[in-house]
Amino acid sequence: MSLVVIASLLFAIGLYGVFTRREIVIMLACIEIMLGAALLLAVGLASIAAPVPTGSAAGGSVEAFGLIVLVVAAAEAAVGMSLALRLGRDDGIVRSDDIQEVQE
Amino acid sequence: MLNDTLVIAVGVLTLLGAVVVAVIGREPLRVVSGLGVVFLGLALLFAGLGAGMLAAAELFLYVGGVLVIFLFVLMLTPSRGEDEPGVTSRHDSLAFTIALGIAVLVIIVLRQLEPSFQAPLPITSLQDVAEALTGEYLVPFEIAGVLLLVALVAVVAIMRGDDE
Repeated sequence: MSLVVIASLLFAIGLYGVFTRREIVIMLACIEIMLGAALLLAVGLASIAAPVPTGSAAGGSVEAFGLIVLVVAAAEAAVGMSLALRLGRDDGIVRSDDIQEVQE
Repeated sequence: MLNDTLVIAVGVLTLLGAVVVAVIGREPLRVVSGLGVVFLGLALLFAGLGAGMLAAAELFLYVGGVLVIFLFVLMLTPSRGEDEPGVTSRHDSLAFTIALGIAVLVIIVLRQLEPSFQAPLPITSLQDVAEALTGEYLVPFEIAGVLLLVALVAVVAIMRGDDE
């Protein structure tokens, strides 16, 4: 139960940060926190959904699934960071509100 | 393998790191430090769950890679004035309500799984993970590789921009 509470609160804190913070980099960091919380919950629940004996191949599939999720999250972080860096370096934009002003 | 007290201690530390990032962090180093605590906490929790390979990947990929990129980006982009509050949204209370509501909803829905939740994952070797990646998860594994390549090209394209 404690893991469910921890993962849920971690997700909620990340969500709150995405809603309230305006700095693009910090919003990305909050999204990473949310992804980590979801992965923690998925790995934690895996032991309940399909309990498997030690040494079986099914045990490896849980970690394989987690690794693929980590790769996707890292790709998202790389693209997001490059966008944030480009906006900050070239246009001086560090907040998401300012992107709207540039569009107008 | 899962000591409940240890899980709670690491979990609380992770949550504190997340609070520093999402709510009170203003200076780049504090935000990156908070994010580092979150990633380390997640890695410890993965290790506690028996997913050692995932814990190592979290350490290498996030603490060693993503965190450094965050630090570089925070250092290379201009910062705002010190007098601005960390949270500037007009919808703080609404955001807090939505976030807390989702957390409570998830906890209530998953509460029924409580009795069996402390069962650790089976101990797996690298061979098990490799067999899963090249067998059952071959297609997602290949797609993840293509996604990484596309992300790499996208990053290069974004950073080059209109230079030509």
